[in-house]
Amino acid sequence: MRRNALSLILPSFTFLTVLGTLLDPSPSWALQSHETPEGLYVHQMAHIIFMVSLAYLAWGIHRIAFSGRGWKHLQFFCFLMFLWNGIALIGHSVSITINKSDFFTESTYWYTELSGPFTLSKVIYYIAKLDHIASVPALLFLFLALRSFYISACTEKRPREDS
Amino acid sequence: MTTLSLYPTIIADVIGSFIIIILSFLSLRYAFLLTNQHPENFIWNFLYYLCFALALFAISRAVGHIVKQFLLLTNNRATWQLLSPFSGGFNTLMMISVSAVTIYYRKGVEAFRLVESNAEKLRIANTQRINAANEMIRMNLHLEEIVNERTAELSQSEKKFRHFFENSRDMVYFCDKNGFISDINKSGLQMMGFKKLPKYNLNIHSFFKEGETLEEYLLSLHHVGFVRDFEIEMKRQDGTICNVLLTANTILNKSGEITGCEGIAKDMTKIKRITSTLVSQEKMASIGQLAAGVAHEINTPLGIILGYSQLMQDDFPADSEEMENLKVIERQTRACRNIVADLLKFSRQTEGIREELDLNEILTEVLTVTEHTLNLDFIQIVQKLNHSLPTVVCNAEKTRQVFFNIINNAHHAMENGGELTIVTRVEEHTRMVVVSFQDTGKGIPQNIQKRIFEPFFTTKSVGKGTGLGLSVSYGIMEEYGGSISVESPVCNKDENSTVPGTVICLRFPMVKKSRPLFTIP
Ligand SMILES: Nc1ncnc2c1ncn2[C@@H]1O[C@H](COP(=O)(O)OP(=O)(O)OP(=O)(O)O)[C@@H](O)[C@H]1O
Ligand SMILES: [Mg+2]
Repeated sequence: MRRNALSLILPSFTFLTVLGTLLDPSPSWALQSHETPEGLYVHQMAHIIFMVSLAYLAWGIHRIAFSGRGWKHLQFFCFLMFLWNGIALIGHSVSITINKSDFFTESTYWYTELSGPFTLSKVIYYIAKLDHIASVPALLFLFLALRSFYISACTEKRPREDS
Repeated sequence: MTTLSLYPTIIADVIGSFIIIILSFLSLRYAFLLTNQHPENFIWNFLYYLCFALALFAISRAVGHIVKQFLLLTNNRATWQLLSPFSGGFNTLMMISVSAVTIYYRKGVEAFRLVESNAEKLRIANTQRINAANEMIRMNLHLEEIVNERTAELSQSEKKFRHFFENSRDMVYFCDKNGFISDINKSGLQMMGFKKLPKYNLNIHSFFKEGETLEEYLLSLHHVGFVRDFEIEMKRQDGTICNVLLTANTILNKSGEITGCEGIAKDMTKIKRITSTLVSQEKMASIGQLAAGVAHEINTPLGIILGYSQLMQDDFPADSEEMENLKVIERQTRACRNIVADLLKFSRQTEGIREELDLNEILTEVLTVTEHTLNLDFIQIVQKLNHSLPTVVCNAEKTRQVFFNIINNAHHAMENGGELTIVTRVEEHTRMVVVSFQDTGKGIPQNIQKRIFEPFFTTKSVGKGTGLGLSVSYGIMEEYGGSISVESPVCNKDENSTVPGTVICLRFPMVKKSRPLFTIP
C-alpha cells in the first residue's frame, strides 16, 4: 500500500514539476536573461539539499541497513556523489568570479583557453570542470551496488538482517 | 604557461557523460529486475525509485552537457544560451527529486523492518500455534487411545469380577440397609434352595434361623462395619438348615451412612458333617480300644464263672432248686459272654457276617424280647411297618444291638409310661430304608442334642448308664454307610407344631443292585 502510494506520488510529482517547467519556462528564462543570480542560488541550494540527502542516506545505511557488499557500494556511491556535489557547488560558486574576458578563444570553441594569471579561483574552476572524476565512479558504484543486490536477491530469498 | 587549454575538460565532459548515461541505464535495469523479482520488498522498490530519479538526473545532465559541447563546438552558442536555463533548471529539479526520494529511505526501512519483524513474529506465532495444534491433535489421538485402553481394561475387569461373582461356589450377595437383596449369584440362590430368583424381594435377614445370631450379625455390622467368619445356621426355602460361614461388610456412602451390605457366605454343612464324623470316628476308635481292654478282662472271669457253675451242676440232682439256680447262672453268664464277645467284635471293628436282611424281621425279634418289660412300665408300642420294605445289607447281631439301645433309651425317657411309635419306610429319593423310633418321653434339650452320640455322654446317674448306647449305634450305622439322627421335640407335620418327645431316625442304605421287591405275606 505504501509502495503503491510512493510509486504513484514520486514519479507524478517529478513529472509534473518537469512538465510545468517546460510549459512555462519564462521565470528561469527571465532569471538567466536579467542575469539575476536567483537561478544559480536555487541550483546551489539543490546541491546542498542533495548533499544533505546523500549524507542522510549514507548515515541511514550505516545505521539500519542490511548486510552485504551492495550496501557498502551504495555507501561509496553516496560518498562519491557527495564529493561530486561539493565539487560542483564550489565550481559554481567560483564561476561567478570568472569573467568572459578570462577566456581566450583563438578560432573555435575547441581551442578556448583560460588565460592567466592563474588565481586560486581559476584553478578551482578548472578542476571543477573535471567533476566527472567523481561522478563516473559514483555511478559505477551505484551500478555495482544494484548488480550485487540483484545477484544476492537471486541466490537467497530474503535479505538477511544485520543487527 | 600563460594559458590553460580547456579541451581536456571538454573531452572529459563528453566521455564522462556517455559513461554516466550507460551506467545509469545499467543501474536502472538491475533496479527494475530487482523490483520485478521482489515486488513486495520495500527496499528494492525504494532503490528502484532512487535509481530512477538518479538516472533521470544523470541522464538529463549528461545529455545536457553533450548537447552543450556539441552546440558550442558547432558554433551554435546562441542556441545553447536558449537551452541552457532549461537544462540547468531541469537539473536542479532532478537533484531535489533525488533528495526527496532519499528522505523516504529511513522511514521506509523502519516501516519495512517493523512489517518484517511483525511478519516474523506472526510467522513464529503461527508456527507455535500450529505446533500447539499438532500437540493438541496428538494428545487428542492419544487421549482416545488412553480412553480405549481404559475402557478395555475396565470391561476386562468388569468381566473378571462378573465371572467371579457368577461362578463363585459361595453365595455372594449385595443388599440394602434393610437386608433386601439387590444382587445375588446363582450359588447363593441354590444354597438357599431357590431354582431362580423369585418375584418377591428376598431378604437376607429372613435366612437366619435364629433371631439371636441375626441380632449379633446386625450389631457387628453397625458397630464394627463387618463380620468375619461368622458361623450361622441358615434356613433354606424347604425348611432344612445349612451351616454357613458368613463374611460381610457394610457399604457406606460419602457421608459415612450405611447404605447396604455385601457379603460372602460359604456353605459349611458338608464340612461340618465330615468333621463331626471324623471326630466321632476318632472317639469310636478310642472307645473301641477301651472296650477291647475291658471286654478282654471280663471275659476270663466270666469263663471261670461259667465253668464253675457247670461243674457244680454235677453235684445236685436234676430237679432240685439248686440245679435250677445254677442253670440261671449259666444262662446269664452265657449272655454276658455273648455281649462281651459282641463288644470285642465291635471294638476290633470286625465287620461280622453281612447279609441281606429284612429290617422288619429283626425289629419284630427285638420287640418280642423287650415288649414285656416295656408293657410293665405302661409303655404302649405302636408299630407302623412297611411290609414291602426292601432288604438291606447288614449284620443281624449289630442291628439288633442298635434297636435295643434305642428302645432302651426310649424306655428310660418314659419312666411314667407313654407311647413308642416304630415306623419303617422307604425314602426313595435318597434310596434309604428308614426306621424311626418316636417316644413321648421327656425329650432331649437342644444344647445336648449334638453330644448324645459322643461316647460316655450320659445324663443318667452312675451305674444306670454308661453313655455308650448311642455312640455304639452311631458307629454301627456309619459302618453300614447309613446314618442316625435325632429330633426333639418332634415336629408335627400336619399341624405345624411340635409335640414333646424324641425321634431317633435310622437310615439304612438300600441294596445297590435293583432287584424285584419281594413282599412278606
Ligand atoms: N429317647 C430319649 N429320650 C430322652 N433322652 C434320651 C433318649 N435317648 C437318649 N437320650 C439321652 O442321650 C443320652 C445318651 O444316651 P446313650 O444311650 O448313649 O447312653 P445312656 O443311655 O445314658 O447309657 P447306656 O445306653 O450306655 O446304658 C442319655 O443319657 C439321655 O440323656
Ligand atoms: Mg442308652
